[in-house]
Amino acid sequence: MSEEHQGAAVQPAAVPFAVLFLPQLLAGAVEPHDLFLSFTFVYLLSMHVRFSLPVSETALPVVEKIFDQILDGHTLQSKGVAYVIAGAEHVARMLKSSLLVVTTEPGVAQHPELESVPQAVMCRAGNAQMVRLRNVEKLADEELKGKLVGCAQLINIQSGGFITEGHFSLSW
Amino acid sequence: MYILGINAYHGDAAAALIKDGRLVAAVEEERFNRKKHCAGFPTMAVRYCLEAAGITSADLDHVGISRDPSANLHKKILFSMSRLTKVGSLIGSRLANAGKVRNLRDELSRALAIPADTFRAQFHNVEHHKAHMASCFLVSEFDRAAILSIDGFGDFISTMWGLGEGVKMQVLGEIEFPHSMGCLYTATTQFLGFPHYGDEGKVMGLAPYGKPRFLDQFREIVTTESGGRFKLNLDYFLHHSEGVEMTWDEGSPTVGRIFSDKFIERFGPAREKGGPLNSHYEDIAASLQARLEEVAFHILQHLHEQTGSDRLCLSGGVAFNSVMNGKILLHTPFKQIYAQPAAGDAGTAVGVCYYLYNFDQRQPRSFVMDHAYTGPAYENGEIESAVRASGLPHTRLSSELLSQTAARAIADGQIVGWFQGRMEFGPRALGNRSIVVDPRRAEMKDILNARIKKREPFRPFAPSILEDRVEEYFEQTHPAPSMLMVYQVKADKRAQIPAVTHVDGSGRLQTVSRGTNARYYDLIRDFDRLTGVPVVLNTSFNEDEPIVCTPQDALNCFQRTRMDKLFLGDYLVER
Repeated sequence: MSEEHQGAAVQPAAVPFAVLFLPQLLAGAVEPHDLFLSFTFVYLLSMHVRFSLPVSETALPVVEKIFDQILDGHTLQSKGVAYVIAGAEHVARMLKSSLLVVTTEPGVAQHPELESVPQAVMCRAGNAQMVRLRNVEKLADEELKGKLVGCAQLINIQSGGFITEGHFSLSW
Repeated sequence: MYILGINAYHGDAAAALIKDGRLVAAVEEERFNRKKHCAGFPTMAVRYCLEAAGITSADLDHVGISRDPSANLHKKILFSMSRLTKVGSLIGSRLANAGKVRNLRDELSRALAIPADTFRAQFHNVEHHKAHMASCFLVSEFDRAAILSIDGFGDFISTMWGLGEGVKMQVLGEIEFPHSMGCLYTATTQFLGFPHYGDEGKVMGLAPYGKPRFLDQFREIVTTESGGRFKLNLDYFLHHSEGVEMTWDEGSPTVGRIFSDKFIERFGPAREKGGPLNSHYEDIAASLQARLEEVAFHILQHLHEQTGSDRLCLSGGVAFNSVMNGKILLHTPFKQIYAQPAAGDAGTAVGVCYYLYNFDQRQPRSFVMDHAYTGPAYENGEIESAVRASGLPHTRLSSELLSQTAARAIADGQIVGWFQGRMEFGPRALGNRSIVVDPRRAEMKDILNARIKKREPFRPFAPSILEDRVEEYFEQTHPAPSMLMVYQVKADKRAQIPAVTHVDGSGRLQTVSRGTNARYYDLIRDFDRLTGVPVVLNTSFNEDEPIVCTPQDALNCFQRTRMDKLFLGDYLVER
């Protein structure tokens, strides 16, 4: 997987890209534990689409450390996750022109313009970490759509509770 | 403060309940529904725990389960996705039969047939191995100790170790899926023709018949690394690529094949279930056992270096390997060991309770689990009703006469059913739901198998010995109250107790103290008075079924088999 530090550069409009938008990475108050799942999710999707990750300079070391931990021992093909140190306006423009946004509920609340953008919202239901998909039908890339739905389903099944009867193939 | 701990959706579903830090009850579901190693939800065990505490579910302050789906979730997802090229096939075929997914509150509500909104308890998920660690350290007598939890898998981890101090447990290392000594043992157990959940103990019993001439091959299958780590050669396994398939439609779990064809290439054809056991398979068992011990000591050496503690707390299914446990004191710097009596997943129900009470709620430690008698007990009135209904001849005896009569019967070569007090938690019968015979008679092994147990002839039977007489009979003297240690029987005593001396001169002993089980102690003492031998052969009170729970279960087993006498509470039941 390639990662690059892009400074304030914006993705060229012609290249489809997705955004991982986590408001806490811009506010600087980062709780590392909360980031693993969304970073993993994005890493898996980055096989199909390049991601931009808006991040503050103060949060950058934590972000890099977590990615290092996630990537340790894994060799998936990836189109890359590019860190972008950008202001609020810049972020808003990125979100508007992105193919897909992976975010959280506070992220959606901050940017009502996301309403119509395909998005995966990382959220909690009780103790369980879940992914909620919106506007996925607008994704033209069927392969990306399949991967997105599959990953989200896997996370929701794995984290969503307990199998009560019968047959559980993926028993860790 | 009432806390209910649950182990569900793994083998040995169980529940435990504590009140203000004191263990009120702990019991496996299999004892009630009579399905061995029952998985699923421990409905009847939960009901019993509430009943034993004299409370309803509305009185519970906390409820926890020893599984945390969010623990290591990103690793689970990454692992799944990186090995499956088509997501559709994963979702479509692998999880199609997954069944209903519910949360713990809903599940408990359904089990107890009450509305979910009647609970005032907080609900918790406790990571599997943290529950294991809590199940041994937080109920041990040690204020500071090294902790090792080692099993197949739980929440993506197979092995976790750390340091316990007061109410804190610090994780110092862990081994992630798919690398697992439990998995290696299960895979080899399957290869050796023992396919059932929990059959690993048979291979441990088979190992002393063989020579470890395949040790180098097993060293290739599992390699050790610095930092106490180990790694499986995944070419020999299927679980990493196809998942471990576990089903429990009928109550008892079944596990899909774990070993790959490479195992067959290396060791030849797998043994068919029930097929002949030759020296080839015995040598494989011996080699596996030897490699398990090497790897375990490798982890423990590192753990000792990390913690500097001479005290060790043990849990996890691999901690049922009493041969390994017995050698820890000989091959590592550890000097004292506490093993959770229900070291397998059932014990995590206890672990959840104490994790929540001591660690989560920051309550001081005040309880030591020095015995496993935490299940149902029955009053003499209930016993008498059951006995009367059976129509069998019976006599009520004083305590003194009871143990003397039983000791005499045992010394005379009879098979005695011994049903007293609260049922044991964990897989070992420890003198409350036991079948007891004379260890001096070598033929008793075959007689027991022919008349009741019907076990494979290579499997040893275990001795119970008075705690204060261990030194006379065994090479090691560290207490083994839960029958989780195998020691060498002293050479000059082996001929005296042949029925409990294994082929390699070892015995999986239970040390019995009067403080924890007076009636059983008195029985062995009275046997000693008659024979000069402070040892009896103790095997679980069952016949290819879960250990008996109720007086009726005991009477059924007595009537089905050719047991000679049954001591049921204060009653002697005969034929």
